[in-house]
Amino acid sequence: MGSTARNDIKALADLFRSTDESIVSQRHLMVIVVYLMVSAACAAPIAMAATTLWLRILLAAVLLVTFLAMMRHTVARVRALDEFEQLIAYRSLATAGFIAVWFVLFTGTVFLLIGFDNLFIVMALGPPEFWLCAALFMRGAENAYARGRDV
Amino acid sequence: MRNRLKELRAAEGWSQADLAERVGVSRQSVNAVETGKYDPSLPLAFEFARTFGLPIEEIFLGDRQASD
Repeated sequence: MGSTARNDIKALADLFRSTDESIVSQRHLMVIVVYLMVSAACAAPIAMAATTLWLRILLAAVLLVTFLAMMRHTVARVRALDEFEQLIAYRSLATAGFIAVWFVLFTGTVFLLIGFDNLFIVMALGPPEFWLCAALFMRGAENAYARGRDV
Repeated sequence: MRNRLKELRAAEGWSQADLAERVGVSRQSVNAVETGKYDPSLPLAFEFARTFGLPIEEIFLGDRQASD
């Protein structure tokens, strides 16, 4: 493995290394991981043509409820932050939302072009991608703007 | 906008975390304000002023003031 790749992995590890005072805490990251797992568990059967309509509706409902719970959790967290941290959080959420919309549009278009016409999976992958991006951006912004030493 | 937060904090012997606790924000926010990466809102600027017992204009300097 080259040194650039090692540095990238180290940078990613640093990004996720949590402290209690961080905007995206270890607990918040765990919630995101659980959300990703729930989404993956729902998205795969939804995408399968063999799945019955009722099962698809049930899984889609689970996905929606999890997404709303995630949104509620994040809004509560962001409201508890101070003004500077809120600025970082809202910017990160807005950027992640923008990327997620493009991800759904772009991936959906590519899937349609190659003949894979099940858009459920694209719709199911968009929200988890949004949360992951948001968490990464918050960590990145925090590192860029406010992670100086306490001198 | 420039500020004298670091200098005033050092004079009191406080760390960024100490000042953050007194003002009621995170240490990252104090760091961002000190390094000029973020300009605080008026309420937060007043809170800094109250904490140091100084008028706002003695802590935060506009670009014109700083160059004089």
